[in-house]
Amino acid sequence: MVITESLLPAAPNPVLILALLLAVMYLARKSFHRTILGSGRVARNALRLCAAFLGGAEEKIIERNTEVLVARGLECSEGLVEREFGRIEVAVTRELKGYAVLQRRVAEVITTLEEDHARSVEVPPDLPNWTDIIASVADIKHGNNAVVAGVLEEIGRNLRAQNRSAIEAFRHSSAARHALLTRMMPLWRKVQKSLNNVAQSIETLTDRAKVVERNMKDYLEIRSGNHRAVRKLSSSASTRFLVAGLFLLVAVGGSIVNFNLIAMPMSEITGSGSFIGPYRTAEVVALVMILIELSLGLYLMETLRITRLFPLIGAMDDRLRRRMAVTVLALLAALAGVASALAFLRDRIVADMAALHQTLAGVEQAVQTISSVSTVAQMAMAFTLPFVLALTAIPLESFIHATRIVMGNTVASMLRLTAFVLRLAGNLICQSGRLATNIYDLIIFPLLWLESVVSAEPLSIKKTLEKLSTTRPPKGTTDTVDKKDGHAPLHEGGK
Amino acid sequence: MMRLFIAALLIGLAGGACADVQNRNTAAVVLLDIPESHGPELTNAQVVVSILLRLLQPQDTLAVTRIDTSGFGEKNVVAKMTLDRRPSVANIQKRAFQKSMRSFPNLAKGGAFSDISGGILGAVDQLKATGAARKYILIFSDLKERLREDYHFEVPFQLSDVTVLAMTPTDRRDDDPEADSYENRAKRWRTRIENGAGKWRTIDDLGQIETIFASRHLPAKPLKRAN
Repeated sequence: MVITESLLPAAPNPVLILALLLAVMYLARKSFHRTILGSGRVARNALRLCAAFLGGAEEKIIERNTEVLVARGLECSEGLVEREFGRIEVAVTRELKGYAVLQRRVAEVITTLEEDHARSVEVPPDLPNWTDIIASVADIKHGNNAVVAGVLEEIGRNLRAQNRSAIEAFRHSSAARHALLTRMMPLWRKVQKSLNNVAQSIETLTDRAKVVERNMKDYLEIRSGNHRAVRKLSSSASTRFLVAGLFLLVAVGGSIVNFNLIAMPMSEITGSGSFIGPYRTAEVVALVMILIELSLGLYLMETLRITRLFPLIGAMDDRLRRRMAVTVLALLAALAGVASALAFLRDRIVADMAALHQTLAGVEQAVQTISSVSTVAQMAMAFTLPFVLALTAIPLESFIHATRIVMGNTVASMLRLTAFVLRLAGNLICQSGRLATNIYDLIIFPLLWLESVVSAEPLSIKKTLEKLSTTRPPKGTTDTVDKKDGHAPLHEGGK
Repeated sequence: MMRLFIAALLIGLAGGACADVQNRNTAAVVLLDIPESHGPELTNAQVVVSILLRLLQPQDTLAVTRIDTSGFGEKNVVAKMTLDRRPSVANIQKRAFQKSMRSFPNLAKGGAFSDISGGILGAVDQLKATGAARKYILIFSDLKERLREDYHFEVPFQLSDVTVLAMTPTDRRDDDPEADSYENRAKRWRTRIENGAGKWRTIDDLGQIETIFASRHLPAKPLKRAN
């Protein structure tokens, strides 16, 4: 005890401790620098490697996303073009089917018109110059010869009669021509109308062709992978995602309403006291029923080719597909009927429960009249909701497709952000290491100064530069970093 | 595909009908001690039975039994029912039960005895026969056991999973605080019940009944021990 007390001072001298510490730090300077800077570099490289890996993954995701987007866009464009061609086909078929009739009708009308025209062209013979002849005959001097006078008189009378007859014939002929010309007017109108119809049909086809051209342009633009087209598709996917999500929320609300309408009365079928897991059996069965309604709706939409989630259904034979659609519709109607009956039962059970509770509470029961309006409303709602839920397949399909794109974009953004954070962290760690070495040197700067004083030689600036250039270590070593950081290079024998 | 739909639908419905039933049923036996001087207790019992009828669900069991006789047997059962699994039928049963409970006071005459032990033993047998997950015995009594002199015996109870709810009497005029108060008797009964692995709880307010039976489908919580 005495020996120990004599060996150790009662209180250590802080200055001595500090000097020892500085000495140790000075001796360990090189190792410290190497360790810290090396660790920082290793960390930065590792993080950069991670960032590069994430960047690659992000690129792949973006590439895949673009492929999906383009494929989806092409599919949509193809669908649009196909639909327009279908419409054109329908229009052409319809018009061509009526074209033969139209042509025959126009030909008939034109023939009639030609005939009428030809008949109207037949000009009646001009009236002979009866007046002059009569006047000439009348002016012949008969010299009071009774015979000559009689003959002349007769000739004059005959000539006047023929004159009247000719005028009459001329008038009849003119009237017939006018009648023909009058009859030609509606025929012309008919021809004009038929030609207008043809013109309208051609105009419709032209419009369709313009739409096809526009869609084809979009199609080609998408196919070429144009950045603008891809961005437009991406934006469209985001919009679809939001809109479809909103519709799906509405559908979820409808499902909840439907569930509440059928869950309670379902206990009349399944019993009220049994449970599947933590849930009542009646509630589970009601939920299953709603899910089946949704599935049926999905299949109905698939068989009608409104949605295309299951290519197998879309590729089915048309007759089989139609049969399937009818069957699914019948099943859906049956389920809607069951739901409606359950809603009716629910109304009765609720009324009965209320009456029972009143009885149990000792309240005198008022004469209860069950409103048929509420019953009918509930039944109608329960019957309608399955069909409304069936339509959920449309936004569901849109949502699924859009979710793929939106999720891809989100993951790509997250990867990008993570890569950035990793790079930043790597740089920060590396720079922190440099900062730590600087602080370290700052702490032991008296010894460093002493070292520089002791080892200083009166060299000229030129020699110093030469020495520096010859003793410059390879790039990337600790000494380089030290120099870059403005520290004096370490000397092996600097201790 | 259609066959698949139909099969799924049938499986769903059949699954509902034949589901692996987790027993969550409740069974309650009400023990009525009706001495002549305890008229208000009968009214309270009727109120509690009404509350129980309101709260019990299909497939639950309820029985009302008299314990104001010396000895316990089937003749003591005033009314008993297990509710049907269909809510509409269960409602009809509840109405019938309520009707029988209403007519009961006209026929009931207070007895000179009070066989609480026999009543509890009989109630336990009834409760175990139901196979219910939650078993309750509700005692409407001043907890004074009055047996025939030759009937004195003490059989240990087997009350595992059974909760005994003692309804605190409203009228305690015959209690002698100096000699043997209701609280002392309750403590003795609690010891007996807990020795038989049962749970004991005194009920001062009828609202507590509602709380206990309304939370029947929640996970069982340890009941607060009566002081």
